[in-house]
Amino acid sequence: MELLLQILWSSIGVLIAVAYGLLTGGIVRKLFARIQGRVGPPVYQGFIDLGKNFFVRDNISHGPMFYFGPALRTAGGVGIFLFIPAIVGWAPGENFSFAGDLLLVMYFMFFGSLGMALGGSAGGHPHTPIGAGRGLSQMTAFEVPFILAVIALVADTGSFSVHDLTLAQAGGFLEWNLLTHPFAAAAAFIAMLGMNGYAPFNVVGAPNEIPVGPMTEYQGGFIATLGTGRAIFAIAKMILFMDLFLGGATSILEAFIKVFVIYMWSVAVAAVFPRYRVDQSMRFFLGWPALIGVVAVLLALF
Amino acid sequence: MTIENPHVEKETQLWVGPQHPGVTGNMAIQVWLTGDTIQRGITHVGYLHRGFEKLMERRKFIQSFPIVCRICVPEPDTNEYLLAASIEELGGITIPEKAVWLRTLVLEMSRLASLVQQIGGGAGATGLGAVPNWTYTLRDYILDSFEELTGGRVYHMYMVYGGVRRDLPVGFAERMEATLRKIEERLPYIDKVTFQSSVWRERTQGVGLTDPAWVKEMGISGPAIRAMGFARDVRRDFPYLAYPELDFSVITSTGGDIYARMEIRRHEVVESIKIIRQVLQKMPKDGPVAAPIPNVFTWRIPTGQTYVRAEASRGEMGYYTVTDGSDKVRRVHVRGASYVHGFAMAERMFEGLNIADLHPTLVSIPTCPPEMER
Amino acid sequence: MGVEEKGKVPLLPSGVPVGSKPHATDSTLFAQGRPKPLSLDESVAFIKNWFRAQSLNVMAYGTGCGSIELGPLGTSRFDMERFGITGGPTPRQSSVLIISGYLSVKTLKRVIRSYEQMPNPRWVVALGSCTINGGMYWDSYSTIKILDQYLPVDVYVNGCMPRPEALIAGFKDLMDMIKRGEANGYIEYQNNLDWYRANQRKVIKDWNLPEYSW
Repeated sequence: MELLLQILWSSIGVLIAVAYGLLTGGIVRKLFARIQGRVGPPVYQGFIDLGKNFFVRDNISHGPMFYFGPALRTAGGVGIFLFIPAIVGWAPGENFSFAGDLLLVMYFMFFGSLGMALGGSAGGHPHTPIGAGRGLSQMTAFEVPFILAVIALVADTGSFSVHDLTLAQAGGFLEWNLLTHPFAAAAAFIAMLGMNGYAPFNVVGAPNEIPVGPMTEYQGGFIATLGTGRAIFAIAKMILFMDLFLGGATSILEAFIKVFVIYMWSVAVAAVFPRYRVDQSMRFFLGWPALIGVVAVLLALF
Repeated sequence: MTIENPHVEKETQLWVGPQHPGVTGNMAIQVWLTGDTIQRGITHVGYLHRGFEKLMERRKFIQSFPIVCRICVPEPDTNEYLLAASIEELGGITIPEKAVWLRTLVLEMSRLASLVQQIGGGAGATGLGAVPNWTYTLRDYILDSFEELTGGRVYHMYMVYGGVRRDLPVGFAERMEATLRKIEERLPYIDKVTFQSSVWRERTQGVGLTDPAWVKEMGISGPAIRAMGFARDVRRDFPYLAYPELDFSVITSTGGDIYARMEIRRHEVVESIKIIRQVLQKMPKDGPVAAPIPNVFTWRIPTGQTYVRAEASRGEMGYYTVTDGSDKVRRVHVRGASYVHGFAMAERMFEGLNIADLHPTLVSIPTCPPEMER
Repeated sequence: MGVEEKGKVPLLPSGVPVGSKPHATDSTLFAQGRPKPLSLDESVAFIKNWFRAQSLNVMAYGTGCGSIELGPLGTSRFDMERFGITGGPTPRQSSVLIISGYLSVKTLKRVIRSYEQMPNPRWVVALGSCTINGGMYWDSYSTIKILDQYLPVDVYVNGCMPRPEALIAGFKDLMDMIKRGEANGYIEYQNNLDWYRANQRKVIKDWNLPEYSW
């Protein structure tokens, strides 16, 4: 019974996360538009795009593997969301958090990109392997500072549970890992720039180099599924960062605000930067951010 | 046409264009990739071919005007001037001084609009969304001035044989000055996110290089050759219209990469603004704007040939015109700067280029597909 | 049905001359009966069409001169994103194809290929007089003259080139037509594929497109 109830609460949580992700996406588009001197689309444009993509009549498939891209992408986002506590200390918001969830979530981060590489390649367009190759190599690079930051936190707290890591920061913002572990936070937040895929690290779907990269052959319902997956993936990642560095959230409103603030960090960077080439992007992540991560680990160990 | 490729099993063949957000217009580039690196590239054109040179042979002189401005869409006035100047030279018409200055003004305004647009294009090519938005708006302000002066937004057809169509409207100089000031105010912002940005510099410096040894004999012109240290400018080397009386400098750089070409363009915007201010200041206040010409329906021009050239934002443009005593031209050859840039220069630059740098290189040269194909 | 002889006004498959719309007769000006509530099918169609109209993706293909005005249209002066119109980078993810002016035969081949790769529903917006009757290139050897014989055009925007305001007005018209369920060029194309194919094959000499490429 308790499990069924938890499934119900978590399903509602997924829906809320999708809606909030789409809304945040609309706000981001509006924000970019304002910086560029435009009015921009209405903030609810993301929902309209989603509906429109579902109502496209034709869906051209390129074999069974083609379906794996959107499916795995969405599964990755939902997976991250389901296994970390969105709201700490409130049973419906705890989701399916368990002792080793941090390790599982790290795996889910790779999941979506691997799925896109797998599914997109079934389309056979030359942009797909180039985009997937770029995405996977950049991901390998930004995982280094991120994992070093996580190792630093885990070494200090002694637990692989996001729940425990969040509880360890209880007691005011001075206890947040953002302030107590500044090096780990710096490494992780720089890695987040690459994770979110905004400029200067939007090498995967670089619009005027390899337009939309691995998604070149997807259309209609596939794009709608991908959009849903992207919305929840973005929110789930922000929740993870909130739990790890900003002390988690104790109410829905607090979660909304903290997620939005963390999201805006990568948007603020993206607005004024051009795009790196993928080799430059990898060199960037394996340079200073990785070094900061190493320093964070050393500080945590000694 | 089949293209022989001996390494077909080792390379990925990729078409960039014609349907691609990253080409400068309706053109295509066929590249062979090894990993991320381009081994060879071939420029394919013909998608915009309309046969202007042939169409002009069937039209009377005055009828050619509406079609020549379509040869290069972002900068149509150079074509109008070149056709007008060549026919006037062959027909023995001298234009009044006021028309000389007005033509200089329009040519320089279209150069400025085109340069501003190219800066935005170069920044947008590297994924910087804000700069194209700003520069397209700045270009639009210049187009507003064009609309006020000529009645047309993109295509003006302002020049006619013997001069121009009409005088400046009242208060045009002040409004033009306001537009110029808007551009000057925006330039520091553009500098900040492009030329001073470490990411953009890393992305553009040392990319898109070519050997300076062969560019002179290949006929490369404009910012592409000035970025390699050759101070070549038709406005100074072969002065036309009112340019000898104007004070401007030819900007050169020695980098030869995308950064150098874009930097030259940015400084040329300042020079162009300076020229427009001088023109508005030194222009005679009164006088006729057009000399009388014969009846255009029966106008016949004796046998002759001439080559007239002018500096466009992309480089040297020229019209080689032949007349044979009839009421139509016998032959017109349009020498567009983009032709040599898009074929000779771009195809050599593609070799060894990263696929991500293809579009910035193409934009920075620059190429204008309708001009390559006419 | 069939390709018309030279010199005559070309007919659409339905027998109506190109460019003419059926005139409103007197009976259409008055109500024919009491208003009825929408049936389930009609309501679903209405919702679908509303979503489709509010989110248009313009394919990134500048086929002619008119594409120079798509720059100002997309950027901060005229900002088409206000109306939910965004760019579609690939044919698969686009719903609107803009034929921006004259179309050379070489481009027509690529345009047909791109158009057929777009998923239904899809619409064609044609700019300028060049797409209606050839415009100033009426005697050019390399351009097509009447676009409607090769692709079903939903909205024409006049002017050379059309100002961005005119384009926005054209898009508004297209949105209204989609919402009313009248922008059915893509259905006409599928139903009369033979007629369109015959016309296309007449101008494209090196025909090597697949018969059914979407």
